[in-house]
Amino acid sequence: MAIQVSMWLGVAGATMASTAVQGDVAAPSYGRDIAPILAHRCFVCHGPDASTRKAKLRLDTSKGATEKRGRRPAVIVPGDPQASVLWQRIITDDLEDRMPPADKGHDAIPAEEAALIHAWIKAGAPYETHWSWQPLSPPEPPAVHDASWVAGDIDRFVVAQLEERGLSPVSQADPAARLRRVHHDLTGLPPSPQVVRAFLADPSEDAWEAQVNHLLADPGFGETWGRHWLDLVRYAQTHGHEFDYPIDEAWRYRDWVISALNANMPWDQFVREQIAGDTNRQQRIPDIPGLAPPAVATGWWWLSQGTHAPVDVRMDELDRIDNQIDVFSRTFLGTTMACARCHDHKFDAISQKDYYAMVGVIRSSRRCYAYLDPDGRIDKRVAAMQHAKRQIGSHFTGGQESARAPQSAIDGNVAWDFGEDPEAIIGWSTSGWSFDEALHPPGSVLITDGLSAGRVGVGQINSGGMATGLHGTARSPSFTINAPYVYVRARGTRSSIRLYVDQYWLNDRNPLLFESMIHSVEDAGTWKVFAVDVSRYQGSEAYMELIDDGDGFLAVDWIVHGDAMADDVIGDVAIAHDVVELDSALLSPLAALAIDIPAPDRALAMVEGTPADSKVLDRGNPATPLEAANRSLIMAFPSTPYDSHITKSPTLSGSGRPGLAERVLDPANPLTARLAVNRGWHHLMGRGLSTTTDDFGGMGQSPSHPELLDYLAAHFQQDWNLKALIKRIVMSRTYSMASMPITPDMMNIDPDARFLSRAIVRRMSAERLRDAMLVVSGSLDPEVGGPSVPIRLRESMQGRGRPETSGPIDGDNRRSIYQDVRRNFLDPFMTTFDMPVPSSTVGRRTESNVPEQGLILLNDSMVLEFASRFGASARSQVNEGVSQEEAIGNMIIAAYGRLPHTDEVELLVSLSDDTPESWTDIAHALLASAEFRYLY
Amino acid sequence: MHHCGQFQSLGVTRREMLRSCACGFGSLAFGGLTADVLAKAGVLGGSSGLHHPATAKNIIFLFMDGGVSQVDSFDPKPKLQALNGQPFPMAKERTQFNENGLTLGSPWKFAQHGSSGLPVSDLFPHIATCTDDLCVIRSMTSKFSEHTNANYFLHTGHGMAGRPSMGAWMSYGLGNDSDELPGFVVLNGGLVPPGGQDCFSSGFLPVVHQGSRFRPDDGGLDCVEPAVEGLRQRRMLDTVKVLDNEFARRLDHADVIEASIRNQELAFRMQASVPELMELAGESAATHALYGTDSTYMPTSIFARECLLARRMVERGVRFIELTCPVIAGHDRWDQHTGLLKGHGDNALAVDQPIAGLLKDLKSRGMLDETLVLWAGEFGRTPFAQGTDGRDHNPFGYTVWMAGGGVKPGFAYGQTDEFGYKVVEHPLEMYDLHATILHLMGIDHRKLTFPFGGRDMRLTDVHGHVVRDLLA
Repeated sequence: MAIQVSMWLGVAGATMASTAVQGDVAAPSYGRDIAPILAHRCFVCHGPDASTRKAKLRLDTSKGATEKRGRRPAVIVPGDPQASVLWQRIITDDLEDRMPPADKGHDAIPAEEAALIHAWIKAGAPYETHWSWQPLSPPEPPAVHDASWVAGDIDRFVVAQLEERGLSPVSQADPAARLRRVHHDLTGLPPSPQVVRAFLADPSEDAWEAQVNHLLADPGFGETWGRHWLDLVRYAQTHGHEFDYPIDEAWRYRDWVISALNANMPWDQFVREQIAGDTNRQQRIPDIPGLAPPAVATGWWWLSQGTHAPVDVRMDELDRIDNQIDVFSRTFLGTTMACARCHDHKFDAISQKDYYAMVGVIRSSRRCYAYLDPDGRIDKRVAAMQHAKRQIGSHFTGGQESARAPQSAIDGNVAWDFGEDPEAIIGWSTSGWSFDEALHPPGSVLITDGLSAGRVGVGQINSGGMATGLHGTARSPSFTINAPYVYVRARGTRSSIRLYVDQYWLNDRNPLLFESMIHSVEDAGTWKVFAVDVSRYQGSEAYMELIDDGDGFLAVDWIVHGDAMADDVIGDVAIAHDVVELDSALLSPLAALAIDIPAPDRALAMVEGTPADSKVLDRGNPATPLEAANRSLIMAFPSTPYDSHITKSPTLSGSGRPGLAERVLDPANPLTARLAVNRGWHHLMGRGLSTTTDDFGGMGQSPSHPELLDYLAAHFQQDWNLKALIKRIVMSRTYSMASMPITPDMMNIDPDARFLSRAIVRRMSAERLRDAMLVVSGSLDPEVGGPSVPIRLRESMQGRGRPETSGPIDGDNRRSIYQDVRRNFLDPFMTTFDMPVPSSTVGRRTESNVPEQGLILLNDSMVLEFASRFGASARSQVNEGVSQEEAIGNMIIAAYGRLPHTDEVELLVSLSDDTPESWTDIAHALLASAEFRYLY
Repeated sequence: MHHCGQFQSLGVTRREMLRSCACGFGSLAFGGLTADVLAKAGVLGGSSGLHHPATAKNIIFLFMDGGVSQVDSFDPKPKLQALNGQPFPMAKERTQFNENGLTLGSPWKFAQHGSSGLPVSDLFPHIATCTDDLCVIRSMTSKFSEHTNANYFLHTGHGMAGRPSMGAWMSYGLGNDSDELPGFVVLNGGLVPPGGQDCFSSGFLPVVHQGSRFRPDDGGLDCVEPAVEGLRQRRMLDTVKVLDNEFARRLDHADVIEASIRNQELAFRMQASVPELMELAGESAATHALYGTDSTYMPTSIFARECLLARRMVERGVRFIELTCPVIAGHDRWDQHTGLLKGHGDNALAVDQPIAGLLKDLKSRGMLDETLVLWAGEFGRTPFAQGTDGRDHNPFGYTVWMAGGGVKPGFAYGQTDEFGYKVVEHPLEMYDLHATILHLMGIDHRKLTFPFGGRDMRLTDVHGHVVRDLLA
């Protein structure tokens, strides 16, 4: 339906001109046009949040806007703006009457927005689902008048919209510009001079497709698109704050991302493994050789900032969870759930209860270091040992460890008694290998390393029952601290016991306020009682970890909560271990297997904890808990976001994460596919179809080409194939548009190229700029993955936690994604060129243009180093007989990805006086020039 | 100039401009487009304030990293002295080190100073001579007991990293009056506060508003020293300019390319303007003596250089200048968990004369009227001892002060209890302090916003009240 707006031009003024093409516009859509205005201007007082709603008026639902409220009239009369109070109140000149209220400092609604509201009311004020939540159905590509430009369906959507606006698209960019663009976009690296020359000799569509296929298969693809993903999950390798403590093994998550993208892991699996990969026990289908196990994909949950010695550890946990929810909801749902910590969301149908449902999910999960067994070597060894042990066990007679000290001496509540209670192990979980068969009732046989055998007198958990060389961790269920001490009776070597309070972990770096939470256990022959002082943490949630770090074992027979106890009560008990000699022929197969057991790798991961719902906290304050929120995903979802929460989703099982992943990936949820497609478009075109890549809610930007977005998203949802999506986009004519010439029509109708009348001139990211310097100077080490290269320290990088030594100036010639990311010591080169501070989700980097960038390009020693290498390689060509002109021409092809122009060669030749310095200057001029860092 | 110059005529909203303008407000100012040009575009209010007339044009923020003890400096408590060594009579909140001891009286003596009669302890004998210019707030509070969270809160209004610092908001809101220096400068005396660069971050604002970290030594700024000799560099840069101009021509003079050409030239000029700024030889002997730049106590001379440089930056139009404390061997920062007497004494020795020198110098040059000086730490310290001779962190009531820039001079506001532990009258939240400072700069804290993460973000979040009692 089209409506006349010309009558409006008189009121709304000239600002309508840009929307009032030909005097007609399509009827405003609630989701696309009206909701953003109302969300921005009205919903704080008249939106979903009942607690702050004024005058009992809500404008986010049709019912709220069009029905009487008691004796008050409805504010919208569909079809009749003049009779609508809402309309009268927004246009009135009477400041006391006007909405939004002037006395609260609000401005009047601008004329162009008012015009949209008027048109919408006139059209009947139809409410509909917010655009991003509408079901996904692939629209038909539209017909276009001029089909000559169109190479595929994407182009149809683009040209149709341009034609509607009286524009036609620019011609294709020249082949060199296209080639350079696609190389940088797909692999983050410039094309080599050989590739440039070959493509310029044959810039056919077949040659283009061959280039695209080649680039998509290049490992640089995962490195480049992986970096995009790392921005979303605020990837860093330290926790920041005062001492910038390291996050060990963070790089394994980074490598998982790179490898998964290079393998083109189906997108649903890419999402599923990151949310709940730890719960996936099955073999991946299809298998991806060399890729770390799915648990590694969950590491991102823990890449947050971290405060050491939090005075209020519960609030510290809630603050961290808030960040996890923020990153989760914006990364995977394009939804800003963190707004609902203290109150219902102001703009989207996300209730405070939804927020605490997620808190429950996260608090039912735990941070851990997972054990990795890259090629299954440890698993195989353990299977063989189990077999050998069964052969021995039946031959054992006699031998008994001395009896235990009477447990009745302990004054307290027994939490777990492994000696007396065979069910004490229920609810415990284990990882690694050494605790696999660890519960030994009194009288059971322990055979350690195939060398000694004995019968335990005291029932116990014992991780040394097969081989001391195995690693493993056992975790207790969560419990509420209700006594000042937790006592653990244990013996062992190279092992430890650890209590986590409210999931706080940085006490392993700095024990302040948590001094007795970790105990090393270093006496194999004596049962000792270890006291954990939890008197500060009454009412907190806690769990116990029993850790066997290999080359030793840990035995625990009970854990008790109690008051302070005298030393003699909790005294040591030496055991008399009555070892029985067995036939060495019997033992030797196990002994042979028990030596030189390979050590596992470790990776940061999330694992299942004890499932429990969280309570809703009034105003976010843990001191004022309200009702419980069952663990689930946004209740309004995937129904309309502006309706009340009609359906309540069922509580998810376990922590809730596996179910959460399935709901994120449910075909009925259109957000996941729309988000991924829009981000892909953003990275390839310089701007998303919706510019708010991480917010598809009421405050987000509705897409410039909604049908195109849906077309691509619907296809993407069929196969979850990222590389196919990217190929579809880069094979379009739209992708290959030139960035100029800019016609007066374009300037008037599409000034910022939002409607894709031309390509955007884009500056390379910090990483690509540095990586391009590596390539042209012949320095790049193409190795993929592994621990990060230490960061290069500058004079200005001071403060606590500063690494003792600086990393190499050239970063070991590794790509930028492999440079260490230390929150308090971010590389100034990277941040000056807009690498984001890793605090929360950033799907769209800023592209700044500041003089500090000029200073770096002029004087930074790294830039000078690469210039020197770049110049030296050209000079050596000259020394080998190549002409100066040709050598400089080669530099230009390398730096700009195009053939040189005569005048620029002459200009650069004039700088040369045969000295190494002059060649450095030539190279430096190229590296510092705008063309080197802009894609056009 | 396409892009930026066009926003007005197209009726593009301010929000869209913020989203799509690649260079940000401040770089427009850098590029020769000053605040009044932007004011015409309806974006800025010009240097006279964004939403209402400003009383302060520039801010110097003296960041007392670590937390100065209020009861030993500006908030005298006779009762505390009387109970010295006795059990502390009030219930104690949890503290960072959980090592709380007895009531600890102040080892410093208080006296009234100036015609205002404001009490200052002899910890600060020089600042005591400036009391008639001080507006002392004795009822400041924070939400955090840990340095890092509290530092972020003080700087950005939020306890975690990732939000823009006060200085970044000022630079974003008001632009920069300097053609050759950034709008937000951190003069880093050697100590980097817990939380690091994120205290000075531009957060989600364009990176141009990030605090540029200057060292008070000769160099000043990373990469500002020419890597190669001048003529050679000029020749190289001239070549770049020819290449860039040709590139710009081929791209129809795309604005991002034009802006980067200007920035490259500005960078070149900064190589001269920054050293010129840092060179203090032209200052008179009396000025040096006033600030204490020649002090034999190294931390004093470092902080004196910082204070003097701050004045020179204000003269050059830098919007927001933050000074961090110098390193003092043995007890860096004001964070005296033990050894209060020596630690606070040495820290005061480092900053006292330079701060008084700055206030007097600004005043005598007629600059104090339009320059707001803010003296604040992230929290105060406990009136009871940590161990026997230290004080732990105290966010429940502490002192900050302001001077110049339209605040009420010779004035004390708010009260803590009789021990100086918690606020009992006129509590100020951090948001209130921020709202008031923005107000002095001509900014309505509710209106200075930036769209991010689904919301219009503010320095004061959804809180904050301008404390009108503090205004002159």
